[in-house]
Amino acid sequence: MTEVHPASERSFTDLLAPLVQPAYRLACAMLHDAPAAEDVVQDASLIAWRKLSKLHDHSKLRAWFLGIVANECRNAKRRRWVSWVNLGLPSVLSVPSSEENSVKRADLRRALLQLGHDDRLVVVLYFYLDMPVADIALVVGASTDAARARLYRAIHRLRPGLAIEEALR
Amino acid sequence: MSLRAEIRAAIDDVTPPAPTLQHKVEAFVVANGRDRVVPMHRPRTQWSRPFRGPMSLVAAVLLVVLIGGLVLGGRLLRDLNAPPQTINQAELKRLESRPLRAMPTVRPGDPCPTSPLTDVSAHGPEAVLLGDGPVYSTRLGAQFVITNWGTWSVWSVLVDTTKASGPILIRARDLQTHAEVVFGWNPLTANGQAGDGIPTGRATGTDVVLGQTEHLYPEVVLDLSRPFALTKAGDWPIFKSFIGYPKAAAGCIGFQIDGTNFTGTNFTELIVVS
Repeated sequence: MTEVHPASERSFTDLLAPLVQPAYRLACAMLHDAPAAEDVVQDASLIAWRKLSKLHDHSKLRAWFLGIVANECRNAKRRRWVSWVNLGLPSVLSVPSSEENSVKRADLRRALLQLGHDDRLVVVLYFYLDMPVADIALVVGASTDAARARLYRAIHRLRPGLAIEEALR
Repeated sequence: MSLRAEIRAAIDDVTPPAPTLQHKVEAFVVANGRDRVVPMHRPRTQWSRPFRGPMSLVAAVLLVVLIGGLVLGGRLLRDLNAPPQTINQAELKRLESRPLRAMPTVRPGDPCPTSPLTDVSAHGPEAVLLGDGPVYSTRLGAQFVITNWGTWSVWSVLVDTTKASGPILIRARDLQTHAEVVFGWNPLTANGQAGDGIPTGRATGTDVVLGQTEHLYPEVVLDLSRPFALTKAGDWPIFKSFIGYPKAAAGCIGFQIDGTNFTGTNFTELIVVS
């Protein structure tokens, strides 16, 4: 984990650079909208830059920054609520129905979108960003046990018939 | 297929590569990050009362240290004005001794002269840059920072190293007002990174950019042995300089570019994209 020395000459951009792509992947996974995800990463980066001096435990930079990104995803979704209602699901779901795998992936994305923000967040962090539950807890601001319980609940909602042990493999 | 693999495949479908996002983020933060939050001092707590006597002694010691710091700071300030040690000092002095060339004067309302465009796509990530070589430059940034003193932007150049070697010295001025154009260290990157234009000459003042004190240097020097880290093998090296001009300037900038075996000029204007 990168250590931050706010008073030093090391730049925030240097610190942020390794986190931009994970942040972008998280935002894409939360929003299913790449341009909106880029906007979210930019906004989150600016927020993080302005608040960096308030981060006292610098070993938590990654979780702290991804937490900001997640919060900005929630805000972006709220801002875009009207267009989502009017336009329905994003166009990226319009995959060729003849390709079974594409349809399955589209179904899974639809199921992910139907999860609540917090449930979707833990699923994405665990399965897509490969974060351990302890780190996920830091991002969502909960205890490790609570984060694990949320993850199990989200998996159950996503795949009701799938055993947790099998899902976590 | 595991649930993890299914989720990855599903999300990858809606996650196109974004190779330029990092640069976009950097530019966005540079352009908008002026209001950085400084942590507030915590209120004095009651437990400190018994220690106030000893702390006064500590404060006195700190005062002595502070005075010593000011003395050392004066020495440091002199060092700040010294040429960078990473390049050939004799060659740099020779370049600095070259007189400034006559540049066109632009009257208010007249268009800013612009250097010819050159296709450099075979030598790096940029398609077309200003200039006829061996130094090619971008326009002044689409992203910029406005301060109480003036305007700052990142200015990138590509150097044809088949025609240029040794240090390259760049000086600039506003073609309409002849106002001083200066160089500094990008406050969002660590000083002296490979590919940074190295501000040099005698600092003429200071500005505060993104919460950091910026010394205003009249020149920038490129160290061709240390190009930007993302320069690909075989490409011409890329250099990025942090450039500023005062509020009085019009933003139509003429650059004098001196290398050990060439001298030339580039002209460009600030392109504002809000």
